[in-house]
Amino acid sequence: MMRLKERNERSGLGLKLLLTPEFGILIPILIVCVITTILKPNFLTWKYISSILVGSVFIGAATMGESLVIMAGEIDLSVGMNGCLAGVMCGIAASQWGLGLVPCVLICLLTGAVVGALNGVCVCYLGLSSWITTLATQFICQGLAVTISQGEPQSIASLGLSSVTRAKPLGLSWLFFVFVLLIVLLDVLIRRTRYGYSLRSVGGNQEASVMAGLNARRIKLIAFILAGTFAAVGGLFDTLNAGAANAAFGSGREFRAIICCAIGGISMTGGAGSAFGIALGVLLFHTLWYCLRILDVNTNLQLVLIGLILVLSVIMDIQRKRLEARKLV
Amino acid sequence: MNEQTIQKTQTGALRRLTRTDEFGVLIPLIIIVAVTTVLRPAFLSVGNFSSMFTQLTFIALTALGASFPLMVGQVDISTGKVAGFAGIIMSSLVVDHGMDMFPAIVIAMAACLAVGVLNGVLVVYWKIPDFVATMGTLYMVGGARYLFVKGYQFSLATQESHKLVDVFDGRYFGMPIYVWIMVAIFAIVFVIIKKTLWGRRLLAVGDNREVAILSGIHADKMRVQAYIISAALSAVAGLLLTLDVGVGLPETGDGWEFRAIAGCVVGGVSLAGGKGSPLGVLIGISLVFVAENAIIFLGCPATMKVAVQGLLMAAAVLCDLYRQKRKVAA
Amino acid sequence: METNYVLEAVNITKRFPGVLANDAVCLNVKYGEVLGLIGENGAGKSTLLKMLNGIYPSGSYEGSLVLEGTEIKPSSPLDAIRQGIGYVPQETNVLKNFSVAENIYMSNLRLESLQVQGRHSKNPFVDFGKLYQACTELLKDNKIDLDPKADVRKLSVGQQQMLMIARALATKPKVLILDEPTTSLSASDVESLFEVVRNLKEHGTSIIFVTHKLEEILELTDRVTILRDGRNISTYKKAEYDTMRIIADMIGRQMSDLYPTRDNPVGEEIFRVEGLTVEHPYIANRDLIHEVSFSVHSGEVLGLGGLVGAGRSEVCSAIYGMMPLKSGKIFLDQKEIHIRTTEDAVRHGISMVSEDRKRYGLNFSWDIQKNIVISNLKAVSHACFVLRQKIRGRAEPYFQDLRIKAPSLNTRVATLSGGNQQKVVIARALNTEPKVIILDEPTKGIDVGSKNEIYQLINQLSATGAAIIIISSDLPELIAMSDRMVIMAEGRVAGELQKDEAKEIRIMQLATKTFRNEEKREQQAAV
Repeated sequence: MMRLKERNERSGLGLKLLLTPEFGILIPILIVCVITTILKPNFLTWKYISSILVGSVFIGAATMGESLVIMAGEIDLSVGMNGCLAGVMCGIAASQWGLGLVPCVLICLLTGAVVGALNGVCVCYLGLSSWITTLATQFICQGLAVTISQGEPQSIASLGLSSVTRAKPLGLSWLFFVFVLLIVLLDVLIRRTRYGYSLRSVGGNQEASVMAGLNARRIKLIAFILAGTFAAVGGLFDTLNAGAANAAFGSGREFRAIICCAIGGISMTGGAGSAFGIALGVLLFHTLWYCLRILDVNTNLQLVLIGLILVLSVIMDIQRKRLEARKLV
Repeated sequence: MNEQTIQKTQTGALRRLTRTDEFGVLIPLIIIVAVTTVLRPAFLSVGNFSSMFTQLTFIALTALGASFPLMVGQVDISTGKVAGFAGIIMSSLVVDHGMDMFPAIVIAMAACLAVGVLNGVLVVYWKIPDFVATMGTLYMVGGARYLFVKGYQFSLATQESHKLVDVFDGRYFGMPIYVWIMVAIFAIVFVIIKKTLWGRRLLAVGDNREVAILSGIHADKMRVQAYIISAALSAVAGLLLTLDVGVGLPETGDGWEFRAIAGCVVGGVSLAGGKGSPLGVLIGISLVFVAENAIIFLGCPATMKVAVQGLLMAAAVLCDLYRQKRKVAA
Repeated sequence: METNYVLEAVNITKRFPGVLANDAVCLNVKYGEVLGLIGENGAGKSTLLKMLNGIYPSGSYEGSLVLEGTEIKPSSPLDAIRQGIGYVPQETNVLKNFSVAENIYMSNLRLESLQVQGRHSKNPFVDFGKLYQACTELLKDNKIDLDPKADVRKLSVGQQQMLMIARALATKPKVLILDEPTTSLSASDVESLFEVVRNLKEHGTSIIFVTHKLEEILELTDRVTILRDGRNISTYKKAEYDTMRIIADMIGRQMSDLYPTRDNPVGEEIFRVEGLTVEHPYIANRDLIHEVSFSVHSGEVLGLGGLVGAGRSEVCSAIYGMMPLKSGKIFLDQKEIHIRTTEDAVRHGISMVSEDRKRYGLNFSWDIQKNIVISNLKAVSHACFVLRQKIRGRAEPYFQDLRIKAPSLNTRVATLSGGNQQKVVIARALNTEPKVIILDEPTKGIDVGSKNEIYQLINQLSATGAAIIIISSDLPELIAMSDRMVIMAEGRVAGELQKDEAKEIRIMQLATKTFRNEEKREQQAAV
């Protein structure tokens, strides 16, 4: 036992800092930025930076939802297609039913929440495994989205938002400010509310939380519903940004959201994570994606790098857990 | 207890048939075919079914691959990308490096087996959650596929020496060669799973790892082997498709991984591990295709195909859950 | 070396940090006999078994194992099986998706005879014809009534138990260990099990039969070895069997002055359960808990006694909303309450501390204060927001009162000792301000000093008028701490004892009771 302790102490501050989920990510972000700046000096201009920031909101919204489910110790593969279906519902409500802005947004969010609730009921109350359930709902949402949109973009021009969506306050988009607001709200939810404490407790040790009198099933169900709602926000962002809902939006987003969570320090086994980490994870992911693109790196090397980063960040998480577990001895 | 035993030994061949795992999947298949035929008689035509069968060949093989990790209680979602990987490596070697077809196929298979080993090592020895680990390789392999792509098509058909492509153009007993290859592979795997030591041990690992280890089975080795087989069969699927099309396309296999898993689950492969049969997988993947085809015949929009797949999967998982949770008799 | 023992365990000593689990234990099994092994909870039986079947590998303990005159050093469960020690675990552990024959011969699907080990045939195929034939013969020889081709999923619990015995026999063991084989069996299944065991004995198989139930020892075994506190106490031949003597040997743990006295008055009845019945989670038509009724008064400590597996923890889990009730009523302050989740239980003022600290205990990546306040977030929040400054204030008094030894409230619980972790768990339970507190083995595996502090805490709590239900396998502890005792056996209440009549011998008589005859009568009545 003594030897283990010594080893722990020897592992020093540098390693510890590197293993802190949130700080660990900042370093790769900086490295990527520095390399890009050296190779492409005009990278550090507001034009590029704002483009990265705005571009990350779509995946960011889905990641927020995904992170809640992962923190609860489950996984949600439907965030991409669920958002897509929600966006299409919004478009249909605007273009075909002729509804106004508020009902359209509500329909969008409600769609997401209903799909999330369906996932939650299957996982928490029927006891199905979360990945297979959400995979099934992913298929169902995809089929429904394509079918009800009949493969056509559903314009939301009737909402008369073009001046708002095209506005560029501070060179950014309104969507970015909404996203920042949501991140702040999520941070409050995770760190300050009773629900946030319960969620992290359930993800950390579900059985202990049940013994402490928490209703783990309901807490997880709410996580799934929130994930569905955040996914719908992602779909809404897509729709607002493009001015029309398209059933092609959001494909593969669930994977990217999971990767953002992994590099953002959300423990893949549940229980730990912060909104700050999520935001950084999304930012790193998107920065990397963007830098590789403007550096004209073979576009497909990106995918390889992303796969590597995913595996590495999970290995880091596991190492972190092992360090913690050693202290258990 | 005596009476029970006597009853059991008296069960006839028919009853034994109805009790097999495959039978449970066959019933919905028959019902869908029957209902659709009654409503739309054109559905039950040789042409329709043979075209469905040729279409499902490649995904069926991928599904067979994916069923191996599922049988030991794990999941592999990198199968589709591995299929594309194999195809592109082979065609790139042949077209760009002027290699012969057979060594190219061997190298492509070897590369895919390496991916299988990587999956196995990440999951079994490094203990990364299986879903996340194979998602990592999904991205790595998925990206690596494109690294071989140049500005031109890898057309195998223009290569003089490659008679293999011609073989794939022909039809034998009314079906293309790759359908027969698929059938042969399924038959071989069926025998391996049902009749050989290795197959029974593999299932035992998925059923109850503790008992398997106590029976002297190297469970970890088996789990890695399951991932290797998964990659190998997916690679075969990708190679067959490439040879059939005659052009190496990097996007081959995109989206197969989840259709393959859907086929497995519908075909009665238990997510809890320990249960699965190649025949079931074949029926399961057929069920997915037939159902998709049937709804088009019934006049639903073709875009609902994916949704049907999702619904079938959900139903199958619920059935499996019901079976798992059933109580033991006192 | 000629010997008439097939297996000898000589001077086995096994230490755990702070505990001497086995102290020079000896165990001898003669050829062709059924040796009973009996002892109270924590007597060291399971530790000994784990060494025999290789879970604790050779080298992690002192002493030697001699099988048929040669020393063996089992390094793993598999190795123990190969050396000739067959083990049938208490829990059902089979391959659910396989046939009976494959389950039995999974370790030897090629049916190689055991003498020619090392010379492996290369045939990759399983000869199912031969397999079924071999299986039929094995089952017939041992009078086990199973169909080799039957699907294991369709077997009853009793049949699965037989299957596990057959599986062990297929490895041709020199000694067969049956670890509490009757725990989940019905009365008629127990009889057929005994038939099988007797037949095995006639054919010369040596058996170690581990049990809690005296009746089974008297009925089945040729000799019995009694363990207590990790030591050999006595061994009797069948001719010397005497119920009272065996019980007397099982009990008699040293009383110490560990237990502080309590003299607060017992008040009104607060809590009562009537006819609590819980279905078995995976066996059909079987009750895990059958018609359990008891009550607890304010300021009273009720001891729930009985041996492991008697259903004590399950009763408490059911009360606490972790297992659904089949029937039965729960009353709090004379009003019936309905509890479906642990949340309901906590809301009504019931709190529980589980025995499994690893699994049900704490969130090990959190610090002490968060682990304490999580059970009652309402107390530290305004509307739905948790006020961080309140967390410390809420946790501080518990931290002080329970004398949790840690640098600060921000210390992560993973770094605490077992006793201090247990105090955090108790603090978390108290944080809900409960009227009824259930403590399941509250002092298991913790050091003496912490034990004493926990006893004092129990007394303080009862002085405040709370009703306390305590489960303990430590008899002296149970007797010293409780005002009244309910003794359970086989999922039923075997008897209730007031403090003055609670003698160890009386408790052990009740706890080793079997309800086989009652069960049979009930079944007949149902027919």
